[in-house]
Amino acid sequence: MIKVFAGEGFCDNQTFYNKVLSLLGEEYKSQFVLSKSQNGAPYINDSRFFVSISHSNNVVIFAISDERIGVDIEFLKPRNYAKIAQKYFNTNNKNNAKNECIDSDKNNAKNECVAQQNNTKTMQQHTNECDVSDKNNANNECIDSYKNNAKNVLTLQQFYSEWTKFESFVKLVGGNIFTSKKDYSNVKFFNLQIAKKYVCALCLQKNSKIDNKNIDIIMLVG
Amino acid sequence: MIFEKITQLIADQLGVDINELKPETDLKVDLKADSLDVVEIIMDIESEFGITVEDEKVMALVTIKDVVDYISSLTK
Repeated sequence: MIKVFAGEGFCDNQTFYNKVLSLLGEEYKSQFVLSKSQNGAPYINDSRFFVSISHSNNVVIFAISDERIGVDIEFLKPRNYAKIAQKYFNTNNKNNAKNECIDSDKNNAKNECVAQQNNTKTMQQHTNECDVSDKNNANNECIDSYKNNAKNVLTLQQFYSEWTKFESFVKLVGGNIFTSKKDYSNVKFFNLQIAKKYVCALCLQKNSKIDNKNIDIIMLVG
Repeated sequence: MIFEKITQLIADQLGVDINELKPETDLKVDLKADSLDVVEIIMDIESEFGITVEDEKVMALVTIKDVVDYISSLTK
Protein backbone atom coordinates (compact mmCIF):
# COMPACT_ATOMS: atom_id res chain seq x y z
CA MET A 1 0.00 0.00 0.00
CA ILE A 2 1.20 3.49 -0.81
CA LYS A 3 -0.24 6.69 0.53
CA VAL A 4 0.56 9.78 -1.51
CA PHE A 5 -0.21 13.10 0.13
CA ALA A 6 -0.28 16.03 -2.27
CA GLY A 7 -0.33 19.48 -0.74
CA GLU A 8 -0.99 22.67 -2.62
CA GLY A 9 -0.67 26.19 -1.26
CA PHE A 10 0.81 25.39 2.15
CA CYS A 11 2.72 28.30 3.68
CA ASP A 12 5.58 26.01 4.68
CA ASN A 13 6.51 22.35 4.56
CA GLN A 14 6.17 21.83 8.30
CA THR A 15 2.51 22.85 8.20
CA PHE A 16 2.00 20.32 5.42
CA TYR A 17 3.80 17.54 7.31
CA ASN A 18 1.80 18.28 10.45
CA LYS A 19 -1.37 17.89 8.40
CA VAL A 20 -0.08 14.64 6.92
CA LEU A 21 0.78 13.30 10.36
CA SER A 22 -2.68 14.13 11.61
CA LEU A 23 -4.17 12.03 8.79
CA LEU A 24 -1.87 9.02 9.02
CA GLY A 25 -3.19 6.00 10.80
CA GLU A 26 -1.96 4.98 14.22
CA GLU A 27 0.34 2.37 12.72
CA TYR A 28 2.43 5.14 11.20
CA LYS A 29 2.46 7.56 14.08
CA SER A 30 4.41 5.65 16.69
CA GLN A 31 7.89 6.61 15.51
CA PHE A 32 7.19 9.21 12.87
CA VAL A 33 10.27 11.41 12.91
CA LEU A 34 11.27 12.71 9.50
CA SER A 35 15.03 12.88 8.97
CA LYS A 36 17.48 13.22 6.10
CA SER A 37 20.29 10.83 5.28
CA GLN A 38 23.76 11.99 4.29
CA ASN A 39 22.82 12.06 0.62
CA GLY A 40 19.74 14.13 1.36
CA ALA A 41 17.21 11.33 1.04
CA PRO A 42 14.37 11.58 3.56
CA TYR A 43 13.57 8.72 5.91
CA ILE A 44 11.53 8.13 9.03
CA ASN A 45 12.77 6.44 12.15
CA ASP A 46 10.21 3.68 11.83
CA SER A 47 12.11 1.20 9.66
CA ARG A 48 8.91 -0.48 8.54
CA PHE A 49 8.16 2.41 6.22
CA PHE A 50 9.83 4.20 3.33
CA VAL A 51 9.14 7.78 2.31
CA SER A 52 9.84 9.96 -0.68
CA ILE A 53 9.27 13.69 -1.04
CA SER A 54 9.15 16.08 -3.97
CA HIS A 55 8.39 19.78 -4.34
CA SER A 56 7.67 21.88 -7.38
CA ASN A 57 6.27 25.38 -7.53
CA ASN A 58 3.64 25.42 -4.76
CA VAL A 59 2.91 21.70 -4.67
CA VAL A 60 4.55 19.19 -2.35
CA ILE A 61 4.24 15.42 -2.52
CA PHE A 62 4.85 13.07 0.40
CA ALA A 63 4.66 9.36 -0.34
CA ILE A 64 4.87 6.67 2.33
CA SER A 65 4.89 2.92 1.85
CA ASP A 66 6.12 -0.34 3.29
CA GLU A 67 8.16 -0.73 0.08
CA ARG A 68 11.03 1.35 -1.23
CA ILE A 69 9.59 4.16 -3.36
CA GLY A 70 10.62 7.21 -5.34
CA VAL A 71 8.37 10.09 -6.29
CA ASP A 72 8.88 13.24 -8.31
CA ILE A 73 6.59 16.07 -9.33
CA GLU A 74 7.35 18.88 -11.73
CA PHE A 75 5.45 21.99 -12.71
CA LEU A 76 5.16 22.32 -16.49
CA LYS A 77 7.44 25.33 -16.64
CA PRO A 78 8.61 26.19 -20.16
CA ARG A 79 12.33 25.44 -20.52
CA ASN A 80 14.88 24.84 -23.21
CA TYR A 81 14.29 21.20 -22.51
CA ALA A 82 15.67 19.82 -25.77
CA LYS A 83 19.18 20.54 -24.57
CA ILE A 84 18.54 18.73 -21.31
CA ALA A 85 16.94 15.82 -23.13
CA GLN A 86 19.98 15.45 -25.35
CA LYS A 87 22.22 15.06 -22.34
CA TYR A 88 20.05 13.00 -20.03
CA PHE A 89 17.87 11.00 -22.39
CA ASN A 90 20.45 10.29 -25.06
CA THR A 91 18.26 11.57 -27.84
CA ASN A 92 19.46 11.68 -31.42
CA ASN A 93 19.22 14.18 -34.22
CA LYS A 94 20.35 17.03 -32.02
CA ASN A 95 19.89 19.93 -34.39
CA ASN A 96 16.36 19.03 -35.36
CA ALA A 97 15.47 18.19 -31.80
CA LYS A 98 16.68 21.52 -30.51
CA ASN A 99 14.83 23.62 -33.03
CA GLU A 100 11.67 21.61 -33.15
CA CYS A 101 11.43 21.22 -29.41
CA ILE A 102 11.78 24.94 -28.86
CA ASP A 103 9.12 25.57 -31.48
CA SER A 104 6.99 22.95 -29.91
CA ASP A 105 7.55 24.57 -26.55
CA LYS A 106 6.43 27.96 -27.79
CA ASN A 107 3.53 26.83 -29.89
CA ASN A 108 2.27 23.88 -28.00
CA ALA A 109 2.99 24.55 -24.36
CA LYS A 110 -0.40 26.10 -23.82
CA ASN A 111 -2.17 23.32 -25.65
CA GLU A 112 -0.18 20.68 -23.80
CA CYS A 113 -1.20 22.19 -20.50
CA VAL A 114 -4.81 22.29 -21.57
CA ALA A 115 -4.56 18.67 -22.63
CA GLN A 116 -3.15 17.84 -19.22
CA GLN A 117 -6.09 19.56 -17.58
CA ASN A 118 -8.53 17.66 -19.71
CA ASN A 119 -6.87 14.41 -18.75
CA THR A 120 -7.39 15.00 -15.07
CA LYS A 121 -9.94 12.49 -13.93
CA THR A 122 -11.51 11.29 -10.77
CA MET A 123 -9.44 10.11 -7.84
CA GLN A 124 -10.06 6.49 -8.84
CA GLN A 125 -8.53 7.25 -12.21
CA HIS A 126 -5.59 9.25 -10.96
CA THR A 127 -3.01 6.58 -11.51
CA ASN A 128 -1.94 5.10 -14.78
CA GLU A 129 0.65 2.44 -14.63
CA CYS A 130 3.42 2.92 -17.14
CA ASP A 131 5.70 -0.03 -16.77
CA VAL A 132 8.55 0.70 -19.14
CA SER A 133 8.65 -2.90 -20.23
CA ASP A 134 5.13 -2.59 -21.57
CA LYS A 135 5.83 -1.56 -25.11
CA ASN A 136 2.13 -1.44 -25.89
CA ASN A 137 1.71 1.50 -23.60
CA ALA A 138 2.72 4.08 -26.18
CA ASN A 139 1.40 7.07 -24.28
CA ASN A 140 3.83 6.55 -21.47
CA GLU A 141 6.83 5.70 -23.59
CA CYS A 142 7.84 9.28 -24.11
CA ILE A 143 11.28 8.77 -25.47
CA ASP A 144 10.31 5.78 -27.51
CA SER A 145 7.51 7.77 -29.05
CA TYR A 146 9.91 10.63 -29.56
CA LYS A 147 12.37 8.42 -31.39
CA ASN A 148 9.64 6.93 -33.50
CA ASN A 149 8.07 10.26 -34.26
CA ALA A 150 8.90 11.23 -37.83
CA LYS A 151 9.37 14.84 -36.84
CA ASN A 152 11.41 14.03 -33.72
CA VAL A 153 9.35 16.50 -31.74
CA LEU A 154 9.57 16.07 -28.01
CA THR A 155 6.77 18.02 -26.41
CA LEU A 156 7.01 19.83 -23.13
CA GLN A 157 4.76 17.31 -21.46
CA GLN A 158 6.69 14.36 -22.85
CA PHE A 159 9.90 15.87 -21.57
CA TYR A 160 8.52 16.35 -18.07
CA SER A 161 6.98 12.91 -18.10
CA GLU A 162 10.37 11.40 -18.88
CA TRP A 163 12.16 13.66 -16.43
CA THR A 164 9.87 12.81 -13.51
CA LYS A 165 10.37 9.15 -14.28
CA PHE A 166 14.11 9.71 -14.16
CA GLU A 167 14.05 11.63 -10.89
CA SER A 168 11.66 9.20 -9.22
CA PHE A 169 13.99 6.40 -10.32
CA VAL A 170 16.99 8.19 -8.79
CA LYS A 171 15.08 8.65 -5.55
CA LEU A 172 14.23 4.98 -5.49
CA VAL A 173 17.75 3.68 -6.09
CA GLY A 174 19.63 6.47 -4.30
CA GLY A 175 22.34 8.76 -5.60
CA ASN A 176 21.69 11.89 -7.61
CA ILE A 177 20.61 12.90 -11.09
CA PHE A 178 24.11 13.82 -12.16
CA THR A 179 25.79 10.50 -11.52
CA SER A 180 23.05 7.87 -11.52
CA LYS A 181 23.01 5.46 -14.42
CA LYS A 182 19.59 5.24 -15.98
CA ASP A 183 18.70 1.57 -15.95
CA TYR A 184 14.97 0.98 -15.75
CA SER A 185 15.17 -2.77 -16.16
CA ASN A 186 14.31 -3.48 -12.51
CA VAL A 187 11.72 -0.81 -11.88
CA LYS A 188 8.26 0.20 -12.96
CA PHE A 189 6.51 3.56 -13.02
CA PHE A 190 3.11 5.03 -12.38
CA ASN A 191 1.92 8.40 -13.61
CA LEU A 192 0.05 10.23 -10.86
CA GLN A 193 -2.26 13.02 -11.95
CA ILE A 194 -2.07 15.41 -9.04
CA ALA A 195 -2.87 18.89 -10.30
CA LYS A 196 -3.27 20.91 -13.44
CA LYS A 197 0.00 21.77 -15.18
CA TYR A 198 1.97 19.26 -13.13
CA VAL A 199 3.46 15.90 -14.01
CA CYS A 200 4.16 13.36 -11.29
CA ALA A 201 5.81 9.94 -11.43
CA LEU A 202 6.08 7.18 -8.87
CA CYS A 203 8.81 4.54 -9.16
CA LEU A 204 8.73 1.08 -7.59
CA GLN A 205 10.78 -2.05 -7.81
CA LYS A 206 9.63 -4.12 -10.77
CA ASN A 207 8.69 -7.07 -8.58
CA SER A 208 6.42 -4.94 -6.42
CA LYS A 209 2.91 -6.28 -6.03
CA ILE A 210 1.51 -2.77 -5.88
CA ASP A 211 -0.77 -1.65 -8.68
CA ASN A 212 -3.11 1.30 -9.27
CA LYS A 213 -5.58 0.06 -6.69
CA ASN A 214 -2.97 0.15 -3.93
CA ILE A 215 -2.03 3.78 -4.46
CA ASP A 216 -4.08 6.07 -2.28
CA ILE A 217 -3.81 9.74 -3.26
CA ILE A 218 -4.89 12.29 -0.67
CA MET A 219 -5.18 15.88 -1.82
CA LEU A 220 -4.58 18.56 0.81
CA VAL A 221 -5.03 22.29 0.39
CA GLY A 222 -3.17 24.78 2.57
CA MET B 1 34.59 38.80 -13.48
CA ILE B 2 33.64 35.14 -12.98
CA PHE B 3 31.37 36.05 -10.08
CA GLU B 4 29.57 38.69 -12.18
CA LYS B 5 29.06 36.32 -15.11
CA ILE B 6 27.78 33.53 -12.90
CA THR B 7 25.40 35.73 -10.96
CA GLN B 8 24.03 37.07 -14.23
CA LEU B 9 23.41 33.53 -15.50
CA ILE B 10 21.72 32.56 -12.25
CA ALA B 11 19.61 35.72 -12.15
CA ASP B 12 18.48 35.11 -15.74
CA GLN B 13 17.68 31.46 -15.12
CA LEU B 14 15.81 31.91 -11.85
CA GLY B 15 14.32 35.32 -12.44
CA VAL B 16 15.83 36.82 -9.30
CA ASP B 17 17.39 40.24 -8.66
CA ILE B 18 21.11 40.01 -9.36
CA ASN B 19 21.81 42.49 -6.58
CA GLU B 20 20.51 40.02 -4.04
CA LEU B 21 23.02 37.34 -5.05
CA LYS B 22 25.94 37.02 -2.64
CA PRO B 23 28.80 34.53 -2.52
CA GLU B 24 27.14 32.72 0.37
CA THR B 25 23.76 32.47 -1.39
CA ASP B 26 22.60 28.83 -1.43
CA LEU B 27 21.12 27.90 -4.81
CA LYS B 28 18.52 25.49 -3.48
CA VAL B 29 17.77 26.85 -0.03
CA ASP B 30 17.88 30.60 -0.68
CA LEU B 31 16.92 30.71 -4.35
CA LYS B 32 14.59 27.67 -4.37
CA ALA B 33 16.32 26.26 -7.43
CA ASP B 34 15.04 22.80 -8.30
CA SER B 35 17.04 20.06 -9.98
CA LEU B 36 16.15 21.18 -13.50
CA ASP B 37 17.10 24.76 -12.65
CA VAL B 38 20.50 23.51 -11.51
CA VAL B 39 20.88 21.45 -14.67
CA GLU B 40 20.14 24.49 -16.83
CA ILE B 41 22.49 26.72 -14.83
CA ILE B 42 25.30 24.20 -15.21
CA MET B 43 24.67 23.98 -18.94
CA ASP B 44 24.68 27.77 -19.24
CA ILE B 45 27.96 27.93 -17.33
CA GLU B 46 29.51 25.29 -19.56
CA SER B 47 28.46 27.24 -22.62
CA GLU B 48 29.56 30.61 -21.24
CA PHE B 49 33.00 29.48 -20.07
CA GLY B 50 33.64 26.76 -22.65
CA ILE B 51 34.18 24.14 -19.97
CA THR B 52 32.69 20.83 -18.91
CA VAL B 53 31.49 20.55 -15.34
CA GLU B 54 32.17 17.06 -14.04
CA ASP B 55 28.97 15.30 -13.00
CA GLU B 56 30.65 14.11 -9.82
CA LYS B 57 31.32 17.70 -8.77
CA VAL B 58 27.87 19.18 -9.28
CA MET B 59 26.39 18.12 -5.95
CA ALA B 60 29.21 19.94 -4.15
CA LEU B 61 28.25 23.23 -5.79
CA VAL B 62 25.92 24.45 -3.08
CA THR B 63 26.58 28.19 -2.90
CA ILE B 64 27.53 30.75 -5.51
CA LYS B 65 31.01 30.84 -3.99
CA ASP B 66 31.31 27.08 -4.57
CA VAL B 67 30.44 27.62 -8.23
CA VAL B 68 32.84 30.53 -8.62
CA ASP B 69 35.70 28.67 -6.94
CA TYR B 70 35.13 25.61 -9.09
CA ILE B 71 34.98 27.57 -12.34
CA SER B 72 38.06 29.53 -11.30
CA SER B 73 39.96 26.30 -10.76
CA LEU B 74 39.06 25.15 -14.27
CA THR B 75 39.85 28.36 -16.06
CA LYS B 76 43.26 29.07 -14.51
